[in-house]
Amino acid sequence: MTHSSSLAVQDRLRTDRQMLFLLLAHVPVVGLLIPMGYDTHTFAIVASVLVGVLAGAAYGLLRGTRACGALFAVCLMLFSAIMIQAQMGRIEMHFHIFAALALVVIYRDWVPVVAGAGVIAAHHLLLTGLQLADTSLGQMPLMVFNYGCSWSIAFLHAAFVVFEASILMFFAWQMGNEQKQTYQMIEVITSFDRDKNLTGRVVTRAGDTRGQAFNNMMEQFSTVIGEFRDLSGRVRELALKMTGVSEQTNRFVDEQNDQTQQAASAMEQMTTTIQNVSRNAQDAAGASESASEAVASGSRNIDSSTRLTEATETALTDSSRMVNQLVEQVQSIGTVIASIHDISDQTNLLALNAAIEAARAGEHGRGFSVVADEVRSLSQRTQEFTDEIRSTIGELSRVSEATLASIDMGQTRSRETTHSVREAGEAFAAIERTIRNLGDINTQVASAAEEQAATSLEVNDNIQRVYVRNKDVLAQAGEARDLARELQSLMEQVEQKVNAFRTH
Amino acid sequence: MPKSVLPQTLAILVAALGLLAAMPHLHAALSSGGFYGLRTDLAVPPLAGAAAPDAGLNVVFFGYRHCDSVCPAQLGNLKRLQQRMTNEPVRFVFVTLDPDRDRQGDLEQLIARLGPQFAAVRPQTTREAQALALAYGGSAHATSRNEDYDIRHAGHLYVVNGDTRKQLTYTSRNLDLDRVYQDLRRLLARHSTESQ
Repeated sequence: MTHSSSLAVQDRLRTDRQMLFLLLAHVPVVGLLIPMGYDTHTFAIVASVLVGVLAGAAYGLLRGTRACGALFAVCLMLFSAIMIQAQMGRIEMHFHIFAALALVVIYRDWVPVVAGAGVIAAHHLLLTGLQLADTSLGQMPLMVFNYGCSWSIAFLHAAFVVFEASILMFFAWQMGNEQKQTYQMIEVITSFDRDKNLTGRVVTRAGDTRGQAFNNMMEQFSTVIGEFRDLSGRVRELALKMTGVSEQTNRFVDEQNDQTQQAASAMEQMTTTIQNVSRNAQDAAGASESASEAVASGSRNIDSSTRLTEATETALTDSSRMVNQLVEQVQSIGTVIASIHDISDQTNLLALNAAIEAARAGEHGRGFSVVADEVRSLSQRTQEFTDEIRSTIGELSRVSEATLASIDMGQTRSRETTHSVREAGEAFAAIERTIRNLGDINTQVASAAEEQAATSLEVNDNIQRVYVRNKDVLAQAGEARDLARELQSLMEQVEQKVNAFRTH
Repeated sequence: MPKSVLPQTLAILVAALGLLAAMPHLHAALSSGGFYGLRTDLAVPPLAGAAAPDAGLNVVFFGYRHCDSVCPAQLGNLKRLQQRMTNEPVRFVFVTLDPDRDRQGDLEQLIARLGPQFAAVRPQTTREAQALALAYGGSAHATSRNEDYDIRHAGHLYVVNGDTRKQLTYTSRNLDLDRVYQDLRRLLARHSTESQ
C-alpha cells in the first residue's frame, strides 16, 4: 500500500495547497471588504494577517499531514470569528461558519470538521458565557451576537453547528472511505497498467455498489481478456489455416489460369478445326452435289445403256426372227432346190432317154444327142448346183442354227445386261439419293459447323473473358493470401499482447 | 497523528486559540485610542427631528416600549447619563423599532417621563425601522407573528456627532457609566478644540 499512501499524501498536499490558497484569499476579503461600513479595518486586517500567518506556518510545518487540515479548519473558524467581530456581531456573518465547515469536507476526513466545529463552539459558548456574565475583560465589551445574547440562541446556533458538523463528519468519513477505495482502484489499475495484472480487486462493503461495480468490471474484463485470448488463439489458427487455404487457392487459381489458357488455345484450335469442318462440309456438300450430278449423268447413261441393250435385245429378237425366216426361206429354197433336183434328175433321165433315143435315131438324132448331152450336163450341173446349194443351205441352216443359238445367247446376255444395267441404274438411283442425302447432311453439317464455329468463337470469347477474370481472381487471391498473412501476423501480435495479461 | 508533528501542531493550535480569545478585544486594543466604546467614524443616516445639538452629540438607542430585557436597562443607563450631563450639548435619542405598537403619543409620553434632553424617533414602518437600525450597525427582527411579539435587537448605544457620523458603539448593557461619561466628555472637548 505504499503506492496508495503516497497517493494519499499527494492528494492531501494538493488539498493543503488549495486550502492554503483559499485561506490566503480570505485575508484581503476579510481584512478589507468585510469591515466596510463598520470602520473596523485595522482590527480586521491585523487579525486576518495573523490568521494568514498561522495558516502559512501550518502549511510550512505540517503540510501533507492530518494536523494541517485540522489547523486549516481552525483558521477558517478564526476568519469566521473575525468576520463576525468586524461587522459587530452581525448575524449574517455567522453564515461563514457553516460555509467554511462545509469547505473542510474536501479533506474527506472527520478530524478537521471536528476541530473547526469544536473551536467555533468553544468560542461561542465561552463568549456567550462571558457576555451574559457581563464580564468586561480588560475593560472591553465583548460581543458574539449583535442582538439579544442568550444561551438559547447560543444553543440554537450550536445545534445547527452540531447538526451540520455531524453530517459533514459522516460525509467526510464516507468520502474518505470512497477515497481509500479509489486509491485501491488506482492501485489495481496501476498494477494492471504496469504488470498487465487483472487479478486486483478492491475491498467492498455491503451496499457498496461502486466497489462492487468496479470489481465486477475487473472480473468481466478479466473474463473478457481470457475469452479474448482463447478467441484470438483460435482466430490466429484460423488465420494460419486461411493463409494455407488462400495459398492453395492461389495455386489452384494459378493452375486454373494455365488451364484456362490451354482451354482458350484449344478452343481456338477447335474453332479453327470447326471452321475447317464447316468448310470441308461445304466442300463435301459441293462435291456430293457434283457427285450427285455425275451419278445423275451416270444414271442417264445407264438409262441410255438400258435403252441400247433393250434395243439390242429387240434387234436380236428381230435378227432371230429374220434368221428363222431366213432358215424357213432357206428350207423353202431347199424344197425348191429339191424340186429343182428332182426336176434335174428327171431332166437328166429325160436327157438320157433322149440320148438313147437320139442314139437310136442315129445321125438324125446326133444333133439331138448333143443337145441331150448338153441338157444332161446342164441337169447334172444343176444337180451339182442344187447339191451345192443343198449343202450351202445345210451349211446355212447350221450357221443359222448357230446364229440363232448365238442370238439366243446374245439375247440372254443382253437380258442379263439389261438386268444388270437396270440394277446398276437402281444402284445409281440409290447412290444418287444417298449422295443427295449426304449433300443435305453435309449442308446441315456445314451450317451446324458454322453455328458451332460461331458458338465456339463465343465460347472462346467467354474463355478469354474467364481468363481475364481469372487474372483478376488471381490478383484477388494473391491479395487474400497477403491479407491472410497480415491477419496472421496481426493475430500473433494480438495474442502476444493478450498473453501479457495476467488474469489468474 | 505522527508524534513528530505534535509539537508544531500544538504550538499553532495554541496560537490560534490565543488569537481567537484575544479577538473580542483586538478592535478596542488596536483602534479605540483610549475610548471605552468601540471607536468608529462612520456616516449614518440623519434621524428626522432628532439631529444632534450644535457642537454636541447624539446618544442613540434602538428599542421598543414592550421590550423587557435590554431596553429598560439601557434606558436606565441613558437616564443616569443624562442626569450627569444636563448642561452638555448631548441628546439622547430613542428610536423605536416597533412603530406599530409605539404610537407617537406613547413615545411623547415616554420622552416626557425621561427628561428634556430626550427625543424619540418613530419611523413610518417596521421595515424602515429595521433598515435604520441596520444602517447604524445593529439589527432587529420580530420573534413571532403573534400579537405579543418580541423584537430581537442589538441593544447597542451609538454616539453620533453633529455631522451624523457614528463615533462610538457600546455593545454591553452593563456599562461603566463613568467611562462612558469620560468618552462623551472627551468627544465634546475634541469637538470644541476642532471648532476653535
